Amino acid sequence: MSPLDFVILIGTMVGIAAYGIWRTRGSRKLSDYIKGEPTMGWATIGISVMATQASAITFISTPGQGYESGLDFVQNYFGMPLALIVIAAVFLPVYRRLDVYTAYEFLGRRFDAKTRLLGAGLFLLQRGLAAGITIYAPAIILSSMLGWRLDLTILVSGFLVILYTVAGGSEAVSLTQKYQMAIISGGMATAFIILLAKLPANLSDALTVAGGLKKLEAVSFSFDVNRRYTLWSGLLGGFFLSLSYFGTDQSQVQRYLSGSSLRASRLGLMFNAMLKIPMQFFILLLGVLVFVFYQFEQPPVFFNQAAWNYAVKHDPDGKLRSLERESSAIHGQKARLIRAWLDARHAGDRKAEADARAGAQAALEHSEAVRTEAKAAVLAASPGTKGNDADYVFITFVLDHLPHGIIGLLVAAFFAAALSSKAAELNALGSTTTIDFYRHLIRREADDAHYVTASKWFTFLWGMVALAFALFANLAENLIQAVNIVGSIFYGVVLALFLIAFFVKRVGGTAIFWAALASQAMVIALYFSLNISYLWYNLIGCAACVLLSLLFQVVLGPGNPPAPSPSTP
Amino acid sequence: MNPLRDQAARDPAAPQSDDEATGLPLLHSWKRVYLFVAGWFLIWVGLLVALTVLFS
Repeated sequence: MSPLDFVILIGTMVGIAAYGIWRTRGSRKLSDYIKGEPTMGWATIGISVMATQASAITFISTPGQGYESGLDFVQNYFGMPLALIVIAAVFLPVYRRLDVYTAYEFLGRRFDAKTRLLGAGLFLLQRGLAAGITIYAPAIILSSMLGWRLDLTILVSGFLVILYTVAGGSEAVSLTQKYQMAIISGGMATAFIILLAKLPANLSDALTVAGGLKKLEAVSFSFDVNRRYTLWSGLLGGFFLSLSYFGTDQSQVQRYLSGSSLRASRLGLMFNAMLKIPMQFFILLLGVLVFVFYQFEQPPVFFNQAAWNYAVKHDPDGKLRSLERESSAIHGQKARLIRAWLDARHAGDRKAEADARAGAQAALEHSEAVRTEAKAAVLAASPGTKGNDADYVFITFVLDHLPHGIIGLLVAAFFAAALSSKAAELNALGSTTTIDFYRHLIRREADDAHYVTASKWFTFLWGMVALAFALFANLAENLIQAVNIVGSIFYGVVLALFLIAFFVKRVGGTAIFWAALASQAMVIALYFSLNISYLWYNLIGCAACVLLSLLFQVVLGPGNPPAPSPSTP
Repeated sequence: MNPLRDQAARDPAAPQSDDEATGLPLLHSWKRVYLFVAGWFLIWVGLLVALTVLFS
């Protein structure tokens, strides 16, 4: 990175944080600190919801997924628009009428205190874990690519986000997210345009190459449950994951409850329902076009260059260098075949086109076999390294092929995304600890100033927990999947608590409480014993908890009735 | 106790009294807004299926 890149990176990050602190300075009421000033319009709410979900992982790892697997990850989001409609129509009006600070307060009113604490506890557990990942994930990638120290990258970005989140609360989070999203959108759009300009083929040819090499298979109708992304897993699993995440996860509920009205909150959610799939599609397409770009331009054999360089130094037989030469030779042959394929296509020579395409496909398979061998050799040379280097694809392209200034903008975009989602998580963790545990169990009667101070301290402490987790984390697989896997293990059961609360009036607190505990234990056991797409755990956890709660209510019978309700049959 | 809050907690599915106008041209009811969003989603799925078929 050049001095210009550093000026852009530091200027945007510190500037946005300082603006957030300055705009939210002064003493505040608890409702202002946790929900924000009640003046936020739908656009701010919509951007805030989007920025909370889209972490740095989204913008660093998703193009890598597009590069490796094509567009099929977009199916993961198919359930989301439908889930947001259900939340806007059913969940949101109830939250607003009850005027709750957290979603778990609703569970306390509908069931009992222990169910409220269980819901809040499950949220703190899974979101506390994910909070570590959201700060670790970009730091590990950016530090290794930019040559920065990992611990310093985590600490500096972590303390910056803690500072403005603690100081300004929910309003500072929403305000800063607006400007951070502007940096992210600007950076990603710029990268997309420059990539299009750098492609040796026009967009139509690029899509032809991508499609011929199986990178444009966006929708799969397969019923194979072992296949990670299909239309069905996306619709069903994605629906339950989104319903749980947006409807019951305080980091999201807090964002849309800060709306000035029910209308603002609803429109903010509909904004996301309409934009999320197009946004994910374009990020994945960016990765696919990076793949096409690297069919003409020699890519590294292994994108994690720091791990590669380390492995080369500890490879006395020179196997890695030999694989690198082999990869280079295959690349030259593949590029020639792809050019011949496109020339034949332009000339209308179907047979030559088919022959060249088949040759390019065979060369790609050969190239991937070499890459797989190289990954294994890197792993053997440095066992601590992760074999999946997809997370490093996009940042490698940015650093190697974008001009200075734009590199600073893109790195700023990655950090902006990390900070925006991190801030919302810390804000929610602090609020839930204050409202559902501290105010509910420890200090019931105190003034607003006391709870605001408590909330600041809890936010700070959760920030420290996330930092500690990030400093000692050692994560597996693609990072965006790690976040989704953690979510999928817990979200199904949490969602069931809310679905029963909203729709099944005859189930009481004791039945749902024990059903939730049993279902959560079952999901964790299944995760370690089955090999199915993680999205299905949302559905399994939710279905098990609903069924068990109905069964337990029958078994517990009239001795443990649900809370009396005038409308309960 | 706030009777409105109490009722909302015990009977979440009860009809909503605080529905506000959408304020959107052509989409005057929330039902229309939701149908429009669902239609937009179907269009995107259709486009993605078309992309898959066209370039396979």
